[in-house]
Amino acid sequence: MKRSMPSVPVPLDVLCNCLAFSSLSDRLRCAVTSRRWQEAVLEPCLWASLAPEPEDLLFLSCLLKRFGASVRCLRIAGHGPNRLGSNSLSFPQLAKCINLEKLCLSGFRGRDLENFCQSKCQMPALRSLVIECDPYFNLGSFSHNTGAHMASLPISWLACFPNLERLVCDYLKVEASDIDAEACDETTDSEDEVVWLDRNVELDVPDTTARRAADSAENSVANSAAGTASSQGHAEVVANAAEAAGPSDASTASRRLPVPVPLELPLAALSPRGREEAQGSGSQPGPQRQSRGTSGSGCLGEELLPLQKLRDLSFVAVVRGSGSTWHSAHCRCDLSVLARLAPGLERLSVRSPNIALGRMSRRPGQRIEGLIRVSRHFCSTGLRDLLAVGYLLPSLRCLKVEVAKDDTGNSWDSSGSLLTVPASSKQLSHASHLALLLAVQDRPFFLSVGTSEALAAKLRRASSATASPAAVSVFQNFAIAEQHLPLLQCLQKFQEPKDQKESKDLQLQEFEVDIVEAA
Amino acid sequence: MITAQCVFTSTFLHRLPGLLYKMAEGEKLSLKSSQGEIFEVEPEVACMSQLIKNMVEDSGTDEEIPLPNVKTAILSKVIDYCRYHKDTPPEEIQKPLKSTNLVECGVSEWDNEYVNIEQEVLFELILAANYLDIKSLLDLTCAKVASMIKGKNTEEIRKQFNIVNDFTPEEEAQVREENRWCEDA
Repeated sequence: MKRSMPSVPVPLDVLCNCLAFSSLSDRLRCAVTSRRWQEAVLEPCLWASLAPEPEDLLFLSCLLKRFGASVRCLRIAGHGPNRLGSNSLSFPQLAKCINLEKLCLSGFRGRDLENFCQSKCQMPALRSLVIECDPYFNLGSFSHNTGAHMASLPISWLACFPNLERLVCDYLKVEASDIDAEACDETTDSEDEVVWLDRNVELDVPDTTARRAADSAENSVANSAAGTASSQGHAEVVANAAEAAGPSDASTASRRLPVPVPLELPLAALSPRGREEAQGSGSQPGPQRQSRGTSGSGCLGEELLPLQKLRDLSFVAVVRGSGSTWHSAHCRCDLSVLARLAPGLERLSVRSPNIALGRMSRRPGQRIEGLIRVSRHFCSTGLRDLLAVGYLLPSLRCLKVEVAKDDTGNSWDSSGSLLTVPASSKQLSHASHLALLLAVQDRPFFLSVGTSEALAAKLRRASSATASPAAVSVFQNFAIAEQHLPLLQCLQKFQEPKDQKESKDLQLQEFEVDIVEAA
Repeated sequence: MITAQCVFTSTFLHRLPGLLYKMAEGEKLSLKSSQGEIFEVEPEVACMSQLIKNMVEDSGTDEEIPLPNVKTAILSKVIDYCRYHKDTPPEEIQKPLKSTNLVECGVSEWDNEYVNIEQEVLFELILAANYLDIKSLLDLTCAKVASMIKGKNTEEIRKQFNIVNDFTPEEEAQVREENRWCEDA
């Protein structure tokens, strides 16, 4: 066999293309062979996107020292002995990548992430940050462990990335210094802090809010003639509730509006303090904020500015302190805090925590599938947590909730369930109702919601309603992703005769869920 | 006046790129190698080359298309590749390669056999793929070269590709020192 390079020199970009398929160590060995190959290896384009293998982590520091300035996109996955501990990777090493725009780190476990976040240095070029942790959430028979100490990103650490636009993480850890102490004490878990609006109650509403509600309702009327009367009513509900949650501004005139349906509203989501702070960030986009005054309370520190440019967030929960209790004030999907941290969000994804499925996490005889289902149900996002999300985040255009549950019973909707669409002339009004409850009726909006098994089962049994999913998605400016919405599939199944076996299975599933809930 | 417009439109459409331009059914393109040999090739096969596609769109199909940088034997092999992949899009190749066996890196058996050739021919193919702008073929051949590099030390790589060490001893010592951490690891 004749072994030689061709008589015509191979262009540099072709050599780079060959080296692009080589591992980092192979590339560096090629650099020693000749000047031509060395030239190819030193081409910055070859190092623009870097994904070192676990074995490469041993010399990652040297690699970044030499080629860090060329790296634009870095993806590091640590596993096994080459985990992302302080030994193999520290944050100051990454600071050599002065032009880094995208960073993805996966495989944090134990205290790795906490150690990693100990040091700080500015990375102004970074636009996208993805932090993936190994499974950390543990659901036992009588208790649970949120794993917040293993998967939390401190807000203060995120100050290193002042131009961050996209963030994927698990827990966002808020310190007392990040948010004023009073806000940190807020909780909506107790019944005392939930406002119940009754059908026959009349509430004082400021003129400005009432006008906005009326405008929204008019938009709804323009969009859907079928839902006119109902939309008007629901707009009033949101408007009333928003102001009823706290003391009204003394400077605004009041008037009384009827409330047509009972509604439960968490105070934190609609707290006037949160709204005032939102007013303070005058640079944020969104028609609502632009139209308001600028009487910010100033309780937001300068350290919150780093997330000001954040547009896309995927996270699990906001954590305060130890964050040891799920669905408590210390570990929950707290939109009011999120609105203060990242007021310019356009896309929000609320995920479930990464559930530990090891043998030690399971009860005797429990299958992995069962543990997944029970854990997901336990961690599912209550739809009331999402109430008025559009009000808090004026720029929000897309909301994805991995697992949602209807934990408010009949309080959401007079028909019994927020998302139930009965076969009546009010089909469209229910979609508009949802849009109004989320306070996104004033904009194009994309909602993708998964449901917990319990809610799915509830809907399957619910009634003989014959709603069409199209009736939900037809609502103008409010699209629901059918491919991601098991709920709609459930609605379709309303039209099909019930299967006996399915009913039996569902009963068994619910029984298992009930056991855990009781525990 | 109307006739003139029609003629203009017809000529114009004949040279238009993309969807508007349609060749007569059964019409073939003539590709001329550097050694003067003509290959009659179906348009959809030939147009897997971005270079040929652009030439057809710019100048039409009336004349043979000269490919002065591609030898007859290499052009024949390139056409084989394009004919096979006309209806079978190539798979994405893993980066970096996890194995020296390309099949384990996402390459099909046919492609693996295709690049199982003499090294000189392989580099000729790389140059042809680069010149003709056939990305999937360029990736396949480059991946083959990378698989031949994988796991080898500097001397073995030089021997594999008959690379002449043009560093001075001092330069080589310096380069080795710069990359010592990699060898140590």
